[in-house]
Amino acid sequence: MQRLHSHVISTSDAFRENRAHNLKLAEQLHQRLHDARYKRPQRAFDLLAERNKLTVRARLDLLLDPGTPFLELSPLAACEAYDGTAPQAVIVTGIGVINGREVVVTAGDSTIKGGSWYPLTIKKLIRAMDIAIENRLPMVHLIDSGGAYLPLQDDIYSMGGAVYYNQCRMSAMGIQQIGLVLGPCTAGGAYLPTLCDISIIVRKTGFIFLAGPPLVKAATGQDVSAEDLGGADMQTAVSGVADYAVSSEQEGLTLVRELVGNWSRGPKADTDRRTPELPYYDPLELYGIIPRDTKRQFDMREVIARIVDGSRFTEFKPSYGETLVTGWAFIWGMKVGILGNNGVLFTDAANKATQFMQLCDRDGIPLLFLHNVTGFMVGQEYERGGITKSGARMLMVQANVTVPKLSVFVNASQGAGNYAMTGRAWRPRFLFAWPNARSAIMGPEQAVTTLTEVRIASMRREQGRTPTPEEIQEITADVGDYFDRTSGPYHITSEVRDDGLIDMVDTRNSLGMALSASLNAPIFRAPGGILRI
Amino acid sequence: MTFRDVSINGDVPHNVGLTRGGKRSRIWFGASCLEAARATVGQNWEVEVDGLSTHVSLVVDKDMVLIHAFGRTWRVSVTDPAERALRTGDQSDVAKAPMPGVAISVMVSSGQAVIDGQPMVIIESMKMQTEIIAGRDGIVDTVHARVGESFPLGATLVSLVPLTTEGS
Amino acid sequence: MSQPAPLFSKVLVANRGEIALRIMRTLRRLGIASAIVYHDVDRDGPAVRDADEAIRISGEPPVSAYLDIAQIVAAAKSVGAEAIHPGFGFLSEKAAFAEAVIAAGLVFIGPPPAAIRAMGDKIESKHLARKAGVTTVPGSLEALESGDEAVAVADKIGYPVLLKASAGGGGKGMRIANSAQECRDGLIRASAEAKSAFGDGRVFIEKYVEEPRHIEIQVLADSFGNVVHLGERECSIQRRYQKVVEEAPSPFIDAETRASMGEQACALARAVGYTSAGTVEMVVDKHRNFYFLEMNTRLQVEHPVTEMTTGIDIVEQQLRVAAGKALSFTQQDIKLKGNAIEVRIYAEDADSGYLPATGKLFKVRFPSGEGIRVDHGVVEGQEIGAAFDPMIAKLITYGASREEAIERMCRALEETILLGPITNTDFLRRVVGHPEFKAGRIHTGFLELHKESLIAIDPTPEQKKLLLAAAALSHPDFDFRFATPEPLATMGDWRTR
Repeated sequence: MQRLHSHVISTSDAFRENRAHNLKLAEQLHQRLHDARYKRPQRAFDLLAERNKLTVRARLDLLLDPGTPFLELSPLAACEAYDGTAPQAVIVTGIGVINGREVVVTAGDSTIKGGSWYPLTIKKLIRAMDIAIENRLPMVHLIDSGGAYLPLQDDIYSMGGAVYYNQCRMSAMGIQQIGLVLGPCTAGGAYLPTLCDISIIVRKTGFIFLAGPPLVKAATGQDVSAEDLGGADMQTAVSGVADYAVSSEQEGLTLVRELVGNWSRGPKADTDRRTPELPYYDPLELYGIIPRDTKRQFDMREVIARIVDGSRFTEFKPSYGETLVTGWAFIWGMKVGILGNNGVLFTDAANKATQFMQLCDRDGIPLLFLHNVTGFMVGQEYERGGITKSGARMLMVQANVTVPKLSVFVNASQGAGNYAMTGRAWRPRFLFAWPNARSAIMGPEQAVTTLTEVRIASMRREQGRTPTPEEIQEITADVGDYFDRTSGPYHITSEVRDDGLIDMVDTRNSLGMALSASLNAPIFRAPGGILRI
Repeated sequence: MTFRDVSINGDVPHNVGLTRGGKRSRIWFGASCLEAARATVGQNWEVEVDGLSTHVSLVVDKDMVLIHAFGRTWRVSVTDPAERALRTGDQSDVAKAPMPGVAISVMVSSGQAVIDGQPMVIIESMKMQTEIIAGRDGIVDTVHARVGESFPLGATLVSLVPLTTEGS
Repeated sequence: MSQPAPLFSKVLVANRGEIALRIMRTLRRLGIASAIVYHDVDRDGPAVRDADEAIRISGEPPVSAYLDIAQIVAAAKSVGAEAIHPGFGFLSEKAAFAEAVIAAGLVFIGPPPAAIRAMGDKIESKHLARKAGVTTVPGSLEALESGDEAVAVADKIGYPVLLKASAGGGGKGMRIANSAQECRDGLIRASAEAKSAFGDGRVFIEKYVEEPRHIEIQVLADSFGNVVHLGERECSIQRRYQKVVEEAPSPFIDAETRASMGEQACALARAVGYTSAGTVEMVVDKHRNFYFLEMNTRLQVEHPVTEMTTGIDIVEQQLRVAAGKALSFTQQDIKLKGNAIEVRIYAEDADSGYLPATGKLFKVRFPSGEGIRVDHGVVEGQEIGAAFDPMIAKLITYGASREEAIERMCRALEETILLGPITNTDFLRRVVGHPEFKAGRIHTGFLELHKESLIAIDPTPEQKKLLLAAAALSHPDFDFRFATPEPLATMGDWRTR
């Protein structure tokens, strides 16, 4: 495989300026991640210590194999919601290694509102379950939640049922689940451990009951302690609701490790593999390559060269449909077919993509989409050329490939281009975004122009007058703010529309883990010949 | 990844973890992580860790790894900390009736020392006899069961002098 | 020219383990067919494997089979053996056995039964020794009748005194007394102990020798009246009155003392009409006064050190004498050369009161090279049981000087690989490498005196790391089943920042 040749001049002013800009974005990301993970009032930590409970991070350290990677998912979920009062959406999810097995872990964080579930908690938890289902990964739930955050029950209740529905479906699919109860599991929450294959309760701090002591008292007048009502010993020795009672969190986590170690390890999908090789070009140079101005074009090959093994890339159809780069490479020794935008999508680029995806699908090669797309080309010429037909073909093939799809918002991911490149709705197994990413139905300038015009027109229609220049300016600012906010990376990640914002230089490892995880699900190669479109 | 208590010649055990992967392995001693590897050299092994290496001759005998190295023989025991906890019995202060029945034999009396697993009472239930054993080493506090007397499920048959809170 | 006719056509070895193998080695060299008796527990042992013929004997416990005179004599007859070599231990010092062998028309490879009997009784042997002009430890000649008598003798010879069972051995029925009172008490205790251990409560008294060294003289005698000695062996390193390290010559004995001890030993042998190989055990005090202890009327465990320093195969000489031939040399021909040390490798925990150890011997590698001799009778996979003496092997090294022999012994012990039951190999290495041992400052209390400086040294931090790593990399608990899949293993503990 040929090594890409980089044209980057790392001594240029542009490089330096880009670098400064992107490093600032990275710094900001690190700070927000750090705060979301660790910033809690001291009181919350004191309460844990008082109850002999560990922090979520300490639990994960004991649960996961030391010296192995952990791909945290949606770490900034809810970062722009609920006035920032629910960092990480009150739950940690991720893919880690337990006794050599890749496992999706969810871990409730009782340092925030007693671990109460917000609407975005549900969304994040369901997303983790989807990842487990799509990639056939077993799940371990460290359950420590006070239940639904009642002031927002309306957005929780109906959707929340999917958590338990998923558990039942996963059980039927053969996806193992273990629940370790580290706090109260009340009402619907009681089903989370109970629907697991194996459940464990920690004595004195873990409880399972449909209604806690106060509610029982109110409903029936019965006075009963939490321990007697749904404590570890009662639920394991008397009711059989849970399977093991343990005396400490440490003991429980050790038991989880032991049980996970007993699972048989299924074979991984058989893909082309070779010995991993670090990229020839330094991934740190990405900071200088990605322009500080989102509108400025750059060569996606420069990005590929800093992600893939040995910076080696076999380009497919290099001189056709040049606004989309296609080709094969290895990431951490695993083969991928890469599609990266090098401009707006034209008919030929879409056709090339369609042909390439069919090739990879037949050969069982996972696909990686590197987004920097503002959409499909517009204009009479292109409409006449049937660009929508080409786009539809691209969507049709992309939606139906059976190989894993991974997406990274490297820069812009807008309009129908986002769909064609496997945006969120197109079920990529994993989707990561960089802190410079933008994703919305259209670009901000177009959006502002379009929306401002719509508002002016409606004012004319309804009030029979043309707005003053001041009013127009206000409308423009208002629309601009809205677009700016909703297309920004923190909004995207807050709403769990990606699987996490990542530092550019973490892309290779994130993709390596994602690819490795996705190979746990079998790849059924699609029959049929490749159409030269 | 596995963690075990590993003790050299009966010395204080070390908590040792091993992460294997391909040709490389990582050994964990508490919080420190060291690269480790082994290779076959004739009938012996070459063990490498943290830049050190030595030839060893080695045999595994159940929980014991017998190693000849540095001109000496070392007996390195490998035990599962979780399993060790199991071996110490249920640690309960009381022995309860697993089913309703009648005591047909009482073998201990108040003040008597018992060891983990020692039969204390034999009960009969549904024409089957069951030994009620001590869940840990201890001293009998009270024998509640009396020969010929019946008792319900879960009745305390023998209670041991509660453990002091030493070492907690 | 044709080879001379072998001394015997076939010899039965009435023993097991390393000594059986060692005797068979000489038999083979001399063109004599070998037969061996074995109990089922030894069926897969190397002695049975190497013998030309093996005859199964039975008994429970197994040791009783090797003590069963009738079965062994019958076995010898059944295979047409002409002679029986008893080795050491078991029946080797039982006059009744020698008599039974002779009565069956076979040759007993050892001294006449009368000599065995005479030397087997501690009191009688002492009488004989005195008569032959051998110095003995001052003490009572007869078994003590009363505490008064014991105190009277003790007062005469001076304290401390040793009260000793007549039939004793291995330290049983022994008491040191520093005063008249201790003497009275000791007599009662020693007598009771001897009675229960040997069925013979007779006890006598002798002067307790301080800082005693155990030094013994190897003698050889033929039926033509030729008696020679092969110099001494020092066996002062003992635990529980059992020898652990032996060497020849003693670093303490000068030529004059050696000659004098040798002469007395030969005199005793002559006095009892001794033939074959025997050992006269002496105790030597710090002024090089030596006193007769007892005579062992058999091949000694530690005979190899003498063989290495004299170049004489003692078993060959035993066979010659038994076959009615004269010794092939005179006293003048015997030249001592260099130093030899022997250590006894036992399956025992030397660091916990020398508790015998049992278990399967998984891996066995003995050292080899110049100046190294290994007499052993074990094979890999063998079960070391509690049925017999827990000795696994004898390591013997030779050097032009004592330093060289010690140096080689240290290396040989380090190279000895015995994985299975716990052995005293490491302990022996510590003993042999001890500065006081190297300086030759040894006596029978050596191990007790230097207990502190002989304890096992902890591994260095580096050794610890390697040992823990070796254990983790080999124990099945750390299974590959739990291996981290690639590429995650290579990724290490990466986290998104």
